[in-house]
Amino acid sequence: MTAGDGHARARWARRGDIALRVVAAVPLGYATASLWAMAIARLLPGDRAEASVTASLVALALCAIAAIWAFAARSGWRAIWTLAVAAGLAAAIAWISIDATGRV
Amino acid sequence: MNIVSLLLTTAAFGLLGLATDAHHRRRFGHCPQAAQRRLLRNGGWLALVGSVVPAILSRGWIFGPILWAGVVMAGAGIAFLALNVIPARGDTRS
Amino acid sequence: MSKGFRQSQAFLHTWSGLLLGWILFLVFVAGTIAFWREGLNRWMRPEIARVEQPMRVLAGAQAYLARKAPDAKSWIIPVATKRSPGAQLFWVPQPKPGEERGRGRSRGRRDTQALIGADGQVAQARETRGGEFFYRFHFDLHYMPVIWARWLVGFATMVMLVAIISGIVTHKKIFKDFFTLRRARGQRSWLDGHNATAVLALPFHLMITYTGLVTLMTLLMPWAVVANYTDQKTVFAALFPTAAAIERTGRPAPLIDLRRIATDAQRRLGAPASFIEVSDPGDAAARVSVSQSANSMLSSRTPQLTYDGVTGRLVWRSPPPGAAAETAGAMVGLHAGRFAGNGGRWLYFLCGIAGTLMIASGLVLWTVKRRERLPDPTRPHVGFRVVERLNVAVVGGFPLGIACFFCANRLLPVTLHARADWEVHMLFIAWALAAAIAFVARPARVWPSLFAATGVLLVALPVYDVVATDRGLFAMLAIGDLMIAGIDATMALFGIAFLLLARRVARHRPAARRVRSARTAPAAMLEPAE
Repeated sequence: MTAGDGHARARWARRGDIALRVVAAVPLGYATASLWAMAIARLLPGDRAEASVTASLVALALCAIAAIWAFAARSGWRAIWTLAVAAGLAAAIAWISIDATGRV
Repeated sequence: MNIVSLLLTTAAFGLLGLATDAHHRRRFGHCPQAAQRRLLRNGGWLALVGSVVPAILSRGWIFGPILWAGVVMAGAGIAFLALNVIPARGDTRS
Repeated sequence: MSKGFRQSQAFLHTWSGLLLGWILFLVFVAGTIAFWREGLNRWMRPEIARVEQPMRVLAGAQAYLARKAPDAKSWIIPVATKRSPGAQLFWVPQPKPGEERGRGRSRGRRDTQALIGADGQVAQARETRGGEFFYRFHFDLHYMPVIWARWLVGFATMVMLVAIISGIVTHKKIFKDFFTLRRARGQRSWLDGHNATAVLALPFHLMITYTGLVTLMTLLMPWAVVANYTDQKTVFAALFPTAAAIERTGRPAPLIDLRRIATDAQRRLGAPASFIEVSDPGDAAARVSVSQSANSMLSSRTPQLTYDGVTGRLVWRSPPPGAAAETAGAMVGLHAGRFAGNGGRWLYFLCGIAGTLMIASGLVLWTVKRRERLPDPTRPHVGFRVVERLNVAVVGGFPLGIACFFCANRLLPVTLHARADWEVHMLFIAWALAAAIAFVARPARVWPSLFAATGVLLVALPVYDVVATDRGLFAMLAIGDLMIAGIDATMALFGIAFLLLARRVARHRPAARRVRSARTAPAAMLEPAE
């Protein structure tokens, strides 16, 4: 393996890492924020319309935070699995809640 | 009251700007000493915090903070322009 | 804050800002101009007089609609103010049997719209979209389905929010460096300019970006509603309540004088009214709904009163909104800035200009920085060339398009069919030509040419107004119409600014470059924070 190959390999690894982070930020980040919008809307007590509005306002900020995290995480894969876990948790909360008490 | 708030924020950013090496040197010919720097900085922050009062007095608790945010930006802009555009004794370039 | 975090955010900031920067530039230019949309609605209709008596306009509107659309399903009459060209009213005809119901479809049609002027008669004004074009463009764009445009603009806005946050993180001495402005230092000067415009109006930039997302919230983030509701109508009824609809009786009954209702509503609300909606006019079941003006409060969700259309009795009052709905309404209100008086509008306008300059300087900074690192500046790589040309095409070309739009408003023949659409076509034709030139000619030549052309046109407009219309700057100052005079003066100022900018760019001589080694550092993408 020459020094040139090493450089090329490193460059492709970096591009791959960035690609993972972009996937983490945009489709996955949006999905995570949306699922948390649903979870928060279910968890907040009180009027359903109010809860939905509050959850939506928070979720917009979560989208931005998810994108920041996607690039701040130690690696692209870390960004993906952490967001996926967060998304899964929110999905579970929302699912259980909707299953239990239904929707208006 | 709005004007008072604006004057205070402009003064605040003017003082904070003069506390920096570059602008102090430009206006007074030397870097600020520690005591001077502290004085300028504290004065600046005091004026900034103080500017909240006339804003709220003038427009209440909802529009007051909005007005204050506007006045902070305007004051910062005026101070920035004054510090950078008004020629000073220390300028070597024409 | 760790160095790694700052570096990662520097990368994010640069690339997110670059990729969406051109769209954001368009949104910011149009949105900033839109703060003066009411004034432009009047400026672009120089034939009509200023409204002095809003009630006269209302009476005229009612008389016109009673003649023109007596059996309509509903009339929508905006209450005229001193700032508006009159009442831009529209009506919804009764749906024919089998035809799909829905208000949105007829709003755009010209045969169900009219403009009632200051004298209560139909205004004889040139057909134009006025300032509304800029307002609509900054989220609906043009020549594309509005849903696509709103998704694109919404996405760009979210990216901008990310760019702002990452920009703050990456800027190590953000407040200490605020006062620094190094002149004639190439990349450093551009960076200082970018930082200054960004930090100076930072509260505004954060606010306008996040609240912009809130205005598009129902489209971009509907999931919280989906989690709680099975259909949208229920949640809309909860958030935007209206009086219960009643069936049309078919018995004719005269509609009460709307001026009485408007006066009563304004007294009860303690604030001016903005919209009057009459449902089933001329019928015994007629109802009149009056909404409070958004100029009089922070939230965009204003209280509404509903009256019986025949007797004038108050039948319903909108309930106060919940805290979350009020918060969302306040955010939309902050974004639109309608609550702001003239001083506030100027502040919004100046902050919008700062934001526009921030975006433009960021785009240019990208090329300036990389040009200094190119191994061979005469043969830059494709990416660099594309970015540079796009910068010229957008930052240089779009303002020229807007100047042509205003010129078209003055010069297109009044009798031209679809005149309002053609004014807009002229904007895009001029822009397309500028963009074409930007892609074939050298940027160093095209930048000053485009700026100069824009400057000439913008200066020519107020001159034209003085010479060829009776609405010149001095005439308007004489009668105290400061809005029109202000627009002419501002155009002149911007024109001069563009001309000075063109001269500055034309005279720019890049400093002699140090020759860089051919090997570029592999970590060029993750650049250190400035």
